[in-house]
Amino acid sequence: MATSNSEPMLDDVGRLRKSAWADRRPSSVPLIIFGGLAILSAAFELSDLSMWRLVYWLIAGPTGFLLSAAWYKHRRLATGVGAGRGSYMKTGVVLLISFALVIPLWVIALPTIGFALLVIAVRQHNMYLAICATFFGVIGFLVSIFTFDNELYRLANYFGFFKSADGYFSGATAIVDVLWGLLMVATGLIALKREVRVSNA
Amino acid sequence: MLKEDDPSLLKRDEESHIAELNDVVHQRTRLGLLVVLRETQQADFSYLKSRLKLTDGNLGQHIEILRNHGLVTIRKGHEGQRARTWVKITRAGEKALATEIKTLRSLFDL
Repeated sequence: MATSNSEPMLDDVGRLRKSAWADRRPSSVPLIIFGGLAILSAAFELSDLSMWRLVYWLIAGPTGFLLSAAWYKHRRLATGVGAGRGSYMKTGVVLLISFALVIPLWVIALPTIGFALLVIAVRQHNMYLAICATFFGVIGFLVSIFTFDNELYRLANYFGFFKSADGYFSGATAIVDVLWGLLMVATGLIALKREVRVSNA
Repeated sequence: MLKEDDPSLLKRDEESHIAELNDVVHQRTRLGLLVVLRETQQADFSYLKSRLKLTDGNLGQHIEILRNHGLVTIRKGHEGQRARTWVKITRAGEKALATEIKTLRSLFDL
């Protein structure tokens, strides 16, 4: 009897879990926030303040977590749904303190932010966010060692858009920041669409 | 002889799994409540009522049973003019739910 009942019961449990998961908006919010912050970082490149880009991420990283925490608090009060495991508020504060006390972390600020996001994703068993957080960390690391800048510079030189004789192609970092940020926002919007669909199902 | 060939062995296996089911958690509504709370960690009464499609009285009764067994905690408070009741899953609640799901899966796999 119990054997024959366990299958529909497990199905119901699975459906209910998915709905509650989607009600939390677990992936879309952090992805849209961190994507937006990445796009904003391009402003430093375009305004000749590129030296401040590092400082920007030291502040923007923890701010991203605090903004996510604020959004989840707002949603909790508005809809009555908790944010699930892993506190964005605590993570943001820990990250801020770590950046203030451990100076070597400044060099790997973006991978550190990606790692902090990954920890939350793992605690929430959120594979989509985990993949995006890893992507954020890896791309962020490659951006900070100018990998994409150099490749874009080489490509621009190859196609004749910008000759090496003209000097350093400083727009590359801004292009990468905008593309990287837009990609994060796009993955966030895709996640949001799915979350709304599952929520209303 | 394979277990699949002997119905008495299969029945004994099923009975041993059934004995592992927790009556408090196994009840359909309470299982649903714990699943939602496991995902959200905490939720308010109105949300749980609409998500599980329950009446006030029915939901309150099941939450009380879960609370009496230490599987959830209840916090009542006011936010602005609005009175709210928050239900939070405990560690014991998460553990009981995990055991229940594991047992249900074992029964399903028989």
